[in-house]
Amino acid sequence: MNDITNPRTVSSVTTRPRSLPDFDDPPVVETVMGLEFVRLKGWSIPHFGLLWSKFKSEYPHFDVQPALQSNVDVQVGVEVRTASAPTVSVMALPSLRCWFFDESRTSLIQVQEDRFLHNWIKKGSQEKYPHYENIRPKFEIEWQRFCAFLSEQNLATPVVQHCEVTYVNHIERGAAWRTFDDLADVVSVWSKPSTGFLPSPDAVNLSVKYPMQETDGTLTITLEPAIRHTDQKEVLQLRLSAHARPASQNLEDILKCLDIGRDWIVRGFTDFTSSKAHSLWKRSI
Amino acid sequence: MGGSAALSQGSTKWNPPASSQASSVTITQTLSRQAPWMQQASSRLNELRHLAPDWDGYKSPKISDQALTSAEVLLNAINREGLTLPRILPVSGGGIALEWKCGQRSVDFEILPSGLVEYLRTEENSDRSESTIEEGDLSVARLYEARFIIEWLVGIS
Repeated sequence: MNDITNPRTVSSVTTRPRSLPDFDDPPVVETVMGLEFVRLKGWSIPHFGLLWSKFKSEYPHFDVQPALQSNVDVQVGVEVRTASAPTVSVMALPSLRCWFFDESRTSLIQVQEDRFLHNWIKKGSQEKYPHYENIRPKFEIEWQRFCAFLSEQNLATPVVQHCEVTYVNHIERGAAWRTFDDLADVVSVWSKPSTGFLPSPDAVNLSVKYPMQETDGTLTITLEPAIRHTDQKEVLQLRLSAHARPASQNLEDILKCLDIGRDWIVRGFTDFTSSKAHSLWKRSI
Repeated sequence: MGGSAALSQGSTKWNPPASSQASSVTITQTLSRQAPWMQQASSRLNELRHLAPDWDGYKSPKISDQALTSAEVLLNAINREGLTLPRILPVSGGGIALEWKCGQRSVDFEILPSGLVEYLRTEENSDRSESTIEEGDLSVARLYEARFIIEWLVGIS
């Protein structure tokens, strides 16, 4: 019998589509799989602690963060509130998000009153990306455990509005690029100035949104130079984030929506970056 | 050194994660130029890397890999023009010391064999005596805060 308070089963097994590009040494340093749902009625501060007691054996470290803003307003052209509309909000509770880290701090659960996310975080340059097919079952188990907790607390089942898949890539300065003049060696959609009039840019901040055609979702790609705190190395941070609405509230449809997001990210990453960079990352498919 | 005084960050220069992303970075939009002294500092670290055990005649182990890694991260965090090459010295037990002096102000970093960094900020008084301004430590994950200590050294904060 399935123990609903401590789920260990996954509803479906996902296999990597054979046509999906793959890399032996990809620059990915973090992935996020997450769900945004209608704010849970009755959720309050004590629930964070009670929930942690369910996760604590596998996620013994916690941190408190400010809550994330809703993506529903900004990503799907439906429930848009205009920026100019005056709003008055009465805040009954501080908007919090809790982080539960596993012992190695490579696995993170993020929870707030309208969000559940699971992150994989690369620790150390030698660690290999475990691939989506291995992360997704973990996400599914933790999501089911979260839903079982809500049921135990007599809170309603979350109504999922949005699925998010995000991949963060760090392309270190020195290997694929040294200056902004080398961007075309990394990014396929960037080309050198056609007449040579423009000098090398002083600053770069690229943000592009693509409609995900088979859903009403959006793929957002941002490229920014950054300094990574763990080793102070200069990197180009290439972030791909897919947001889409699931076809229904069935777990299968929710997972399918995440799969579509992952598919768009991998194909989008491959399309957005250059063949030269692909060789460096050892593209195998 | 020792203690755990919290480092005052002054004007915060790093971006906390504003998204579902947990790994922290500072978005710069621009690229840094390597300060002229950085090359010499890297060479000096490389010399320390090759010190044999018992280099001090008192059975000290060689400089630890963790200390060397922390030293590199620390130097990358500090990398700024207008500074001079610090004194870079091996420390018995497998650590490294980095020392800067700028006018009346001094900053000493001691990198322990574990990679943990202890720091001491001092200022010379008019009577030549020295006052301790702050001492504390930085774990490997907080080494980026070394740049705020150096901003104090050069009089920015």
